[in-house]
Amino acid sequence: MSSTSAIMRREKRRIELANLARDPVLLLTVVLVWVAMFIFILWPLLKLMQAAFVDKGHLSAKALVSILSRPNNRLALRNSLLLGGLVALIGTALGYLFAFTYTRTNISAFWRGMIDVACLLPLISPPFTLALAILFALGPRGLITYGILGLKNVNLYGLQGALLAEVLTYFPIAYLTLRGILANVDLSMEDAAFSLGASRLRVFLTVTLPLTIPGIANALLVLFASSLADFASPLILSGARFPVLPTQAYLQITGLYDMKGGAALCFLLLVPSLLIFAIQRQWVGKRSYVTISGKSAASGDGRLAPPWVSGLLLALCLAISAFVFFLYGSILFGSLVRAWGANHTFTLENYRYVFTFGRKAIRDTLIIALTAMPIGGIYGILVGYLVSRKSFPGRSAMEFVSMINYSLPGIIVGIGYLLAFNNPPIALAGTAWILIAAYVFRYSATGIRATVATLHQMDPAIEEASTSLGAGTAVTFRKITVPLIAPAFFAGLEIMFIRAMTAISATIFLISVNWTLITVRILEGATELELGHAAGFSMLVIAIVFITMGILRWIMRRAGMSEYSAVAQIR
Amino acid sequence: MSRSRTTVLAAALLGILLLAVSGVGGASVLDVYSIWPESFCTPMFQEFTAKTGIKINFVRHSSGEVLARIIAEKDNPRVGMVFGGPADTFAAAIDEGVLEPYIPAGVRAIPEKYRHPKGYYTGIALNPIVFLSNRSFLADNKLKAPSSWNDLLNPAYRQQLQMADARTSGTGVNRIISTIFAMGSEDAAYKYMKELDKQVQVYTKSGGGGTVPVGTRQAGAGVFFLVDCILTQQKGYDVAITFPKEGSAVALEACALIKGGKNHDLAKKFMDWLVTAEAQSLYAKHGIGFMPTNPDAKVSELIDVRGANFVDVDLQWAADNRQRLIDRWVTEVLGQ
Repeated sequence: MSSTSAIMRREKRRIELANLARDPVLLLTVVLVWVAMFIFILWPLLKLMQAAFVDKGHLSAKALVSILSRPNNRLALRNSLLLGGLVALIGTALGYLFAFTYTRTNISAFWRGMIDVACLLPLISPPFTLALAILFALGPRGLITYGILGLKNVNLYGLQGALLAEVLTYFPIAYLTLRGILANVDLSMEDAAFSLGASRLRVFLTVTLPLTIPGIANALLVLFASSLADFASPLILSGARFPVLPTQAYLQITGLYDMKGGAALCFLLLVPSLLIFAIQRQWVGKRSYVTISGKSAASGDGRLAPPWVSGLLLALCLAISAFVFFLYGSILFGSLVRAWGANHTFTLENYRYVFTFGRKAIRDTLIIALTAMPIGGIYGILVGYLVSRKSFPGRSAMEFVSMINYSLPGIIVGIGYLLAFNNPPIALAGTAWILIAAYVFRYSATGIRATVATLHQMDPAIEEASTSLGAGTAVTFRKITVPLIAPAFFAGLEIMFIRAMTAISATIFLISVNWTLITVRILEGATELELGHAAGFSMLVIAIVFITMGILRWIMRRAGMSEYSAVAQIR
Repeated sequence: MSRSRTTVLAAALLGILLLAVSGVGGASVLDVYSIWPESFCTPMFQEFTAKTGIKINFVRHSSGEVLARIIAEKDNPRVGMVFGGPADTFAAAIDEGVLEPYIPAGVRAIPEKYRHPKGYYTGIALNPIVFLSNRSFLADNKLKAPSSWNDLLNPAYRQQLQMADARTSGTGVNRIISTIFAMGSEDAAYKYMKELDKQVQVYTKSGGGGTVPVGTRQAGAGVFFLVDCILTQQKGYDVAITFPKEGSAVALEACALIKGGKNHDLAKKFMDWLVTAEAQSLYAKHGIGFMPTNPDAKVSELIDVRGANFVDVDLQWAADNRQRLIDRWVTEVLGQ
């Protein structure tokens, strides 16, 4: 039995190798992609492991043991898991509420638009913005806690602060995931339940909810991983008594110059992150295409929710949306006054500052983002195409590796890059390329996934026809495949740009005198005294992202492409 | 036709971007790590550029980050010099072998205690540790502005203090050194800091990070460098600056060449200029709350240090013990 399958495996491998030998373009591409992946994904990770576990040429767990012997670090591990769990639960619940209200109640298009915008804002805004706004709204002297409610001695720092900021930042991801699933629930199942006399609640609990469980599980995992990786919100809101792993790793390196300890802390973070990644691939990945066929719910199908329930759900969503809008409004306000919280005279001084002293950061960020965008976009469709359309040895390994940088917390990727590219042979530190590479290999995941998903729905016969008419891999790819996957390409471009404008954790170690980033300036402003500048930079980033998204979508519409919901893939 | 035009356009655009990305700086550009925040270093850099035509490229990090970076970049230095930052950071850097000595022309104007005998660093400003408190917080709690370290242990300050994390900030390290001096012994100081820890709302990443929260009354008070407090006052926040009567450390703000760094000739010119009374008088002109090390330089009227008991830090001791003090702070004070 096993020998037969071994023979078959060997035979398959022989065919794959023969394929490669026949198709030099494919061979060359596969080799190049592997080389790139080795240099920019595996090598940094190896260097990180080496820093954590190799001591004077010997394998040693000393760094890890010494890190774990500190109660503060054990606490950080526990806190990270606790915070992640809570963010996953609450964020997914909120996401479900929003998604259900959007897809399954008969609210008007206007309210739908409001919900959408409230969910889009946290996804495209730079880090620190929500955390800062929350501090000004709910802090010990916050506008709401103190100004309106008159509470004294509110303590926001700690779990509660970080939790609130992360829930508001990440629930939109759950919303977008679940919206797609809820909109695709097969209505004939619900019809059947109704005709058997089940009540609405019963139909929801026994039909609709179970059908959306894969989506819920996916949202839980993604939110857990997002929270685990989050660096910005805890840095502002965790306070002294609630350390979490990413900030501890950062402080270990920048404060105690302890690269080994930092790498060991990263390892602690790496284990749960990889675990989630594995679970997601093995378990959810296979189940999430449940009811693609069949009659799906048109948005606004209100059969499950009677008017009073719709009203209640909408009121809940609007209350939360109003809070989100209020927070962003307060950042806008903070960018337009002299001293946020003390002197509220109107001024454009902060924007004058942003456009004079911040000009270098703006220019650098735009150059890097605009360079990473096409490179990442092309890399994304290339890898997506290879892993879903071509058979060659190591195909599924390639798919796995292509997702590693994306599924790991940014701080790990950043430290790995710092270790790998600081010295020759590949001394990229100090150049723009290290930042571009970090973005390309981390955020092309969206483009890869979108390409794979698009190609799954496409009949390979179209391409086979081209090949059998004599076109090679390159020609077929350019003439047939590219036009078909253009929407996925644009989705990849969009995310690449948004992330290049807003990422911080992966890049904080990679900036240099020559290349700095707006997000780092926001961090400076947020941790220094310049909250007005931080607010101004944040508003600028949001505006640039909005405009760019508008342009990309305009191009897609003009070219007659269908929109691929890229933002759903943000993490 | 239009399709090929689009392609050409896209290719041209990409070409420009690639050119921009790989572009190299000109010869007369000095690369600097600045520990002074943007608002202090930029006017100084601009004045220097206006005078000499030498452009300065910089990135700003807190002192701990700069030290970590220059150590990490030891074999492949990225910048020519470090600008600003407490001298104990530089003393630690000497031990790591990452600095290069240079004695600026005209350095004799600076008192000897404010510079390294071999020229590894040169002091360009002084910066004492002080208390900053919010006046309306004080009024509500019927308190006088703190004038002793023990005042901060008053229950009214519970969860109301903000100060710097010693791991990333020179302010934090100098605060520890201040308490050691004020309490008479290291053990007494750590016992005090453990008590103080209960009063702390948050330890901030950078030294001045807590000043605005004190200004907005998110926090009641904190321990900071004078320069950050003066900036807060200037921004219009209603805050009081006071001094601990038991004494507090005065940090020496310094600058130094990085061993093997780029464009040392430009860095040397910059350092020659920085020790002059002319350069240090610019602190007052730009509202930078540092006290000059050059006795001939003009002192800002914003600075009023009457009644203060400042102690010059023994830099060699600080350098030798810096890491140990931070480690002890992390385990004993933060450690739980």
